[in-house]
Amino acid sequence: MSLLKNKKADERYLSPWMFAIWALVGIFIVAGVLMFYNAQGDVRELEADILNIRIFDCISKDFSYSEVSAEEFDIYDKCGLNQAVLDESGNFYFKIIIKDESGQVLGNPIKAGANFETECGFQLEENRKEQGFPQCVFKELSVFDKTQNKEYILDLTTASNQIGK
Amino acid sequence: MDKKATGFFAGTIMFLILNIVFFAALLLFIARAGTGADIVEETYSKQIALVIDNMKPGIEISMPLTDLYKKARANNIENPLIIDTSTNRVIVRVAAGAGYEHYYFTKLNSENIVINDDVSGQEVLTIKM
Repeated sequence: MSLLKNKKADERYLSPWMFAIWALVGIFIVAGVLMFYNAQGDVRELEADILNIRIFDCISKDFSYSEVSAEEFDIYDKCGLNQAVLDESGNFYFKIIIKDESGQVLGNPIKAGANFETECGFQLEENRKEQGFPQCVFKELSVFDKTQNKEYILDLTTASNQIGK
Repeated sequence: MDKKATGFFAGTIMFLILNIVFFAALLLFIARAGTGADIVEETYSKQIALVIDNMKPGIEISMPLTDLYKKARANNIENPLIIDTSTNRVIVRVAAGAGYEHYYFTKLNSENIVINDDVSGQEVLTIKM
């Protein structure tokens, strides 16, 4: 209650309290600005999405199950991707699962890059984004094989953990 | 004017001056935060890497680099942008230091990347896929 009393000392402007308040305001504003710019600079999800679209576009164009499921199928060459960066930088990951119309998985998945399977699987199961984990994008899209006159489902998981430096 | 009144006015004026200095410093920090060398390097390297990865075959894009070169020249940096096609890295440096680098995952030939002056004498990055 004594704080509410109209004391003479209350008229002092340059009190230690004022400097403490300024310091607090300064710290919060600086922290806020830095957090804003850090959040803006995180492009991992965008990168994972671009990789997802890129893989889907190149595989779905004139899709042929026999070509994609062949052992010698080179996804890097087909999609114009740099194998060294995807496999060695430790920043990217993708997994392609091909399913038939009923959802039955066909053959082995095509996987490349750093192994982010656990991190992506966790985020998919929990249905939430973990900022400390690689950012993953999941898409299931149907493609049509004209030679077989048959529809397939492409289950694509792509991820990026590139922070930059 | 008596001593008490002089002290009061001096205190008020000092308070106002300190307030102005404090808020000016904060405003300056906020204004510079978005245009500082670190942010410029990060923004350009990520933007260019994302543009490369997002390009479809047959596409050609041009991107003005005027601000980047202006900032680099102010810091005596001659070549602020390197697109290293052997390691797939976009390296941007506008001030002293290592700069900022970001990987792109697309195969790209060095002859498809050109940085030159456009008609108005401003630097433009042209990439052909």
